Amino acid sequence: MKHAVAVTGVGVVSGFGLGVQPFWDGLVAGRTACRPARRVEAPGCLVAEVDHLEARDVVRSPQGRRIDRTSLLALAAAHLALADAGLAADELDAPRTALALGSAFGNVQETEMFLDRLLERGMGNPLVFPNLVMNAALSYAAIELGVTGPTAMVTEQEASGEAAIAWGVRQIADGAAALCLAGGSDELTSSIVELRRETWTASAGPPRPFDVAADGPCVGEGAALLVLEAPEAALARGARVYALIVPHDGASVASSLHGWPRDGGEVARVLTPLLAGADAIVAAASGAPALDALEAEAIALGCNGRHVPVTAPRGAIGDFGAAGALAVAAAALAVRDGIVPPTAGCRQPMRRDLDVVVGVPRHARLRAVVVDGLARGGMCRPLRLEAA
Amino acid sequence: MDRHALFTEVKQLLVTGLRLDRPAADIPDDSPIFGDGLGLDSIDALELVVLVEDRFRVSIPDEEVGKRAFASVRSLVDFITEERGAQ
Amino acid sequence: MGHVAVTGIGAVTALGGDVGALAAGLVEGRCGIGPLTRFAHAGRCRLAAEVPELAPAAATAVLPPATVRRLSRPDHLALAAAEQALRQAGLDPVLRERAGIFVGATVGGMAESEDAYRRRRSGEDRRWRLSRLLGTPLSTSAAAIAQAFGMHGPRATYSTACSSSALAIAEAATAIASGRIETALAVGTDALCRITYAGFDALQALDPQGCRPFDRDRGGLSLGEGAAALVLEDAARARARGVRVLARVLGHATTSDAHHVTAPDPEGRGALAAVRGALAAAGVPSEAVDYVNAHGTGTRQNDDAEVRVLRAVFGRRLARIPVSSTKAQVGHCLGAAGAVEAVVTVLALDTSLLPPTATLLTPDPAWSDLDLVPTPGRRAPIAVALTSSYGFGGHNVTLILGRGE
Repeated sequence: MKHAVAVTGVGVVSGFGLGVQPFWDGLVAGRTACRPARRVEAPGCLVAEVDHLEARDVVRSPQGRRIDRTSLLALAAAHLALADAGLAADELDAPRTALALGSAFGNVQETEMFLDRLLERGMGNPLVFPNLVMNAALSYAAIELGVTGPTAMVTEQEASGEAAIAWGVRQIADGAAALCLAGGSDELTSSIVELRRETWTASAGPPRPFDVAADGPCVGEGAALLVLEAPEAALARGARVYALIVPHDGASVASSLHGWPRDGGEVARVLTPLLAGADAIVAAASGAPALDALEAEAIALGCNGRHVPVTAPRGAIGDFGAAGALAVAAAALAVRDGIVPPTAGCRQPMRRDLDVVVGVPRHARLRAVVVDGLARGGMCRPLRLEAA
Repeated sequence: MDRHALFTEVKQLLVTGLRLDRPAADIPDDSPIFGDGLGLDSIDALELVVLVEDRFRVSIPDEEVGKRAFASVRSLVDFITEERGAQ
Repeated sequence: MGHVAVTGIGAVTALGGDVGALAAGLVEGRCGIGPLTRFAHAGRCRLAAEVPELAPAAATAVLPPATVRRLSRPDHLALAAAEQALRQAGLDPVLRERAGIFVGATVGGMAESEDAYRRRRSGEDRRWRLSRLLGTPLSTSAAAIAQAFGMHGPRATYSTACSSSALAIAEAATAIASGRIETALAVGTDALCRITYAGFDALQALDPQGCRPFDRDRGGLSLGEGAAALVLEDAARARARGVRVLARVLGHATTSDAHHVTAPDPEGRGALAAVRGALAAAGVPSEAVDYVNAHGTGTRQNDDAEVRVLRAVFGRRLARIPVSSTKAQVGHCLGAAGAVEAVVTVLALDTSLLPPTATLLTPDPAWSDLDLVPTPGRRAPIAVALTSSYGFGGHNVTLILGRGE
């Protein structure tokens, strides 16, 4: 297929740890990284936190000493992705390197701190303010990696990661850049947990995506970045290719503005062309009944009677805006290894016509894997990954 | 607070707090608050939790209790009465 | 490029609720910067360019009342600007159905969230109120536009500080030029919030007397709120539809400074690369440019760096190119700035009326040779215009716009 773009590196920081290996091992084993909190305050519920991440281990530039957590997560994943691709930051052709990050909420923790001080003393802290802009993570990463080509910070709620990666795929496919780092990052804070608890939008127990007894997601945090290049360039430098991503622009469907579409059929219409010949689907399901049911219907309809194996990583890595970037990472790994991981937390799928992978991973040659990229307000940002 | 006044106050709270476009007196005592009747959604339900907790100094600890309490104006009045009686 | 036509524009700014008010205000040299009234602020600066009156778009009637109650101010501003642009372009439901939506924003529903946060932390609210937080995500404006106008094509929301909506326009133009979509709505929207205002004030970046771009005595920027929208479409399609072409997007470029989280690179390498890249993409030599709508925030650093870039590109010829900053009149609308200034530039190309740098009294001696278009602006037909936006963190976007016909 024309203009498909190669994934040559994957970097992930998640509740499973730092790096793509613990992430993939955790997913394939069907474990969940949702557990009692260590860093944030989360009484009575489970969260998926990224542990053992220190700025001093990741940051190299003098600017970076002020880095915030969301930016740090992204930067850590960026470094891991480059290393995974066998590249050093100083080897990059800076003006021909692009960078795209997606985030739902950006820097939450320091925004609160800034606002606390502002409300209390009537003044803001000028040292903190630069970190509060939505594109702080993009700026930090560009500075750390010396990227001077096109850059974009995108925000699409639950599809922020997919949207950034889709942008990056376009840059390579259009020839606007020779290499693009693309993915997403979102942090977890005590306030997010508190908000979810008080608004009854999280489960007290482990999340159960697509399960008949699903009673809410668990919140998490993390980041994933992919290294994207033209297949010819990857070949020329002997890079290992995980998968090829087909450019896709996404679409909007009719929906409640602040919630999920009511009609799975409309979502199915957007997904159907991508699902043709697909051997697996990485779903956005998080254990939130409204989302899971809508998505289950959309997938069942979109697959037109074919039972395509479905896996939902948010049962393992938790629910956060940029989790979709980790979903795309999982799809790339699935294609590379011919493995569809089980959906942690799912025991009894809510629909019989939905082939949710439960309990043990499925092994099969995967020609194409689709990430459906659903977000509130009717956004569909699907991506199709194909075997190289 | 007498029971009759509580009915009125609850209906008033629905109208002003959830910005309903109808007079409080028009809200029936026994029809469902949620569902098609008043055109309210799950976000309104959460908003009502905050409003009821703040106004009547009661606690609605989880969704199950909320669903039962908000089944109708009458069930909400009963819930508030019981909770305050227990305080 | 050159095949991307602008067929509709909309704007809600400190100069008024539509493009007509904007155009009239620009020509008069009226300054829309006045007292900050949106919220209390106890700092050095008390000025802002506020939208005088915001009438909700007619299209909000299509949305359920509960949804409308939960819209943020930028959502409302975006809907109003989008409606004007869509109406002017005469996009019918069939064209709207497939059109793309590209939004640039930075604040979203933060002002509303700040209230909710204050109430929760003070105990005034004993729980978080989700209804007050739903408008927080920046992407709700694009979602609101999609739902209100029945648009089911691709959509994207970008947030690269001051260049957000310039990037949105660039992305929309690219999508059309590549044939992926035939029509697009590019929107910039932003409102004031306490955090942003206090942050800029704490950085001493605000001019307590109101911004004076390029002035010898300039002391910072003035924040503003507003929204602007442009309908872009394939030029051949526009001709076939018989709709008037207001201007064309000839080219654009996006670069990164990789220098500092707030300060622009004093050497302006990234900004220079954006201008040169945009001209190259447009296939237009620098000699062809006859108007520059500057980023012109009025901070000492920006204006210095910007003039340096313009001199590097245009050399001695710069003295003969009119350069104006309209932030003097509508303030710095942050995420909306790129789109607002693109609309201003489209107006200049379409009406041959060049907007002034309205608050300029005494140009900085470093550029006393330049034509900064003192008030009241002037009539001058132009064919090719350049507008650049430089975002915090070094995200640069330059757009080259050309006359419609």
